[in-house]
Amino acid sequence: MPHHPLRAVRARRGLLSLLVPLLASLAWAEDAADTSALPEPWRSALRFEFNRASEEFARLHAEDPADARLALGRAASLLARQPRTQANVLAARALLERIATSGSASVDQAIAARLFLGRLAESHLSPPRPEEARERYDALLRDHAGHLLADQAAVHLALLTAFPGPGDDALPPDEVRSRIDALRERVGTPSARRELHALQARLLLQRGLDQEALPHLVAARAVGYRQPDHNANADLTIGNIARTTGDAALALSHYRAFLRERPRDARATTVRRYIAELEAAESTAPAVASTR
Amino acid sequence: MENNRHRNALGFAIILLFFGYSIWHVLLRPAARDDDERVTLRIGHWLMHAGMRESFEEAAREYERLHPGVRVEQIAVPIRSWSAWVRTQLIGGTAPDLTGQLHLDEEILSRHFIPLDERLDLPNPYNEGSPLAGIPWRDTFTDGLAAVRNLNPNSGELTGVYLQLNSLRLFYNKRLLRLVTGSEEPPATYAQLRALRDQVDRYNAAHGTLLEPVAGCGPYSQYFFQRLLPSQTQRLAPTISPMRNLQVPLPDFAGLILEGRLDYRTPELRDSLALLRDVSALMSPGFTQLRRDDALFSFLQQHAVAIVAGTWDYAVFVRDGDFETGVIPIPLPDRDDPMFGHNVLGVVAEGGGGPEGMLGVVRTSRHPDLALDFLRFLTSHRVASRFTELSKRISSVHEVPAPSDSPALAPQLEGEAPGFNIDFQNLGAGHTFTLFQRHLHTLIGPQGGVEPFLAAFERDLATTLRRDLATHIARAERDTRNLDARIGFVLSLPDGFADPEELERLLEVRTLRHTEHLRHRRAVQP
Repeated sequence: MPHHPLRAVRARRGLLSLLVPLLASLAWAEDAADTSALPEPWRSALRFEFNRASEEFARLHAEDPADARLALGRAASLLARQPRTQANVLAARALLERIATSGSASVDQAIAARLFLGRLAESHLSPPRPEEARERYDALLRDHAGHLLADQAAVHLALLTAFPGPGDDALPPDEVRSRIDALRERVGTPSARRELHALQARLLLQRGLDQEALPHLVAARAVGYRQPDHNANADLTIGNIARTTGDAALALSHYRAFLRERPRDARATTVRRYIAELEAAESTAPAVASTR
Repeated sequence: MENNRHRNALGFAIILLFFGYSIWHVLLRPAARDDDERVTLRIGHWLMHAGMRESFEEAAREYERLHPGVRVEQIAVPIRSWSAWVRTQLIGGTAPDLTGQLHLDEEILSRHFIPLDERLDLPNPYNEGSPLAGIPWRDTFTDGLAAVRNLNPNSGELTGVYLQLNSLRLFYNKRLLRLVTGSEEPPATYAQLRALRDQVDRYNAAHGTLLEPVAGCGPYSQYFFQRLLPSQTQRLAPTISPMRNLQVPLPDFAGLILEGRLDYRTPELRDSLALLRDVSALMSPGFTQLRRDDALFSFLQQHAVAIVAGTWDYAVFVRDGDFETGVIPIPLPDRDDPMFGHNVLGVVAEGGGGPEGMLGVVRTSRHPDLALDFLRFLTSHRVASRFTELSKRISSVHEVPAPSDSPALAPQLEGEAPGFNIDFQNLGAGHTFTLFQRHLHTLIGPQGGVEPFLAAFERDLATTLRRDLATHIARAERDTRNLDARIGFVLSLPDGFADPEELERLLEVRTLRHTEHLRHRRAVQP
């Protein structure tokens, strides 16, 4: 029986000084932010222990093949486990097909399975099958537009349109633009709208159409990002374009937002200079007007 | 035969000796520790530079005074063995309660370290009575720990905090500077730094000495160039920044070259090469082949007037230098620089500095609560201030001043946005960077020049850029697939564990990585 020093200390001394930090954080190791609170196999899966998770999912799925949740977890684990093989991807696809078509799965699970089938065709099968992916995404969007996961199909469709594969013919830029606009009209979730606006903006900037990219950037930023620094970078992009296209008020508000988020950024002094220049221009403009 | 028997016996004896030592080490030593009935908290790190172990030691003793039931033991591992050591300890389940996170990737961090996210939202109790009292622990770090979160883009977890920030500085020997220039006033501009070459040459000629202006070595010269050269692309960067955010990411820079929209004959890139050649004259021939210790030794032995080194080296100079060391930010070309000023917007800001001393609580810790508590203690305002004084380093904690004898170590936050580097370090598998380094000798030195370098470098540039971009997009593709799986796991979570916000975050990251893969894949094709 290994000797547990903490137990010994508690039993023999009961030191208040030790208990202060202990009491402050007694249940910490079991907190919700920690994956230790999760049951297996999700705990292993979210800790990147894919092979262990895969084996446990396989066991649970074998015990209850009708449980769509376990089948989805099993399929996900097959995509992640090492070595990555075509057989695993095909096995995952078979599981997802069953979830998508079985009556026992919930609507959400069926939608998730259908989105995954598109993802498998686009990025997991070798060679990739972009046409099949397009068809699956399009059908999913047609059937369930407005659902968080179905709207992601629109994002993937837009990406396939914007960045064709090396052997594919690229569409004319204006055609790409109108297709992405059309996709955006079909989605209802803010995150999908944000991605479609951001993609449109990126393509327009690539073409040097900064002024036309600006409303898309503003719309994407209004939804906001969850990744660190993304909001600040978006603010800086908007600020710079607004400044060069003459919208001082918009530039100032986004420059200030950037500084609030990233005051120690290596670009902060430059941004402060831009703000000072814009403010100076603003303060002289009415003066000029008043002298007229 | 007789010899063989003796050799075998000797072999067995050695094995027995080591076996016996192992038994003693594993069984008896811990028992001896348990006898004092205190909890032993272990902290494993690689921070063996001057002042670091002493700082940990002092913090540990103070923590023990506050908590008499706890004993803190530090395990300092040489950096050369660190990667192998830490992986072995983590996999074997024997890692110290608080373990350093140098050289660990996201998978290892997520697998072996406890996320600190929720605890970071609470104030650090050890900040009571300091300027940081009541502030969430996360916000007591200068960048709100964004650097840590960027290490874990897939899981989005904060698996550690860091103690310090690293920057680059010019350290100079005040006595030698006075002898050579007649003054202890250090160079304020790049032009003045560059003039040191002629001043040292004149001094050597007059006194028969072999002084060098700057002690150089391979790794530190890289840092030096990386700080210096973005001054030349400062004006160019905003004009070619793909997202108009003053930055030119390396894959985009590569794409511009492969598309023929930019090349090394572009004046700003050419001037960057000229500046690299120019500054190399300050260091002794063959500096690229030297190691860090060679450069430090040369400076400490007073063979060089100055050295460009990390803020992490300052304590070594203070402790081991038999002379007074001055410290200043790296003198960069300013707008008035006669040779390189035309590309400059202004003094280049260096940002907040690079995170150093990242520590986290391992999942196998028997005392995760205590480990967390000690981590909060280490990063409290008072202890961080003391740590800074002892280690002569810059703290990652807000409001902690630079060491009192060297305020110039503090990050230089004021300055215009930097441009970008031109050597492609950190792109893909590093083929282009290796190509750059391989031909560097044709650029620097008396026989070198920009033209010979470009003739050699540009021959294979497109090939190496495509190979690096291929690696870059392969990584993005791998991340996208892993994120697909992670999204699947999150979607399949049992009732009561669903996390819609995490799902939205993962969808966002997947789009980001997928876009990165798709938008560069055409550039990889010849």
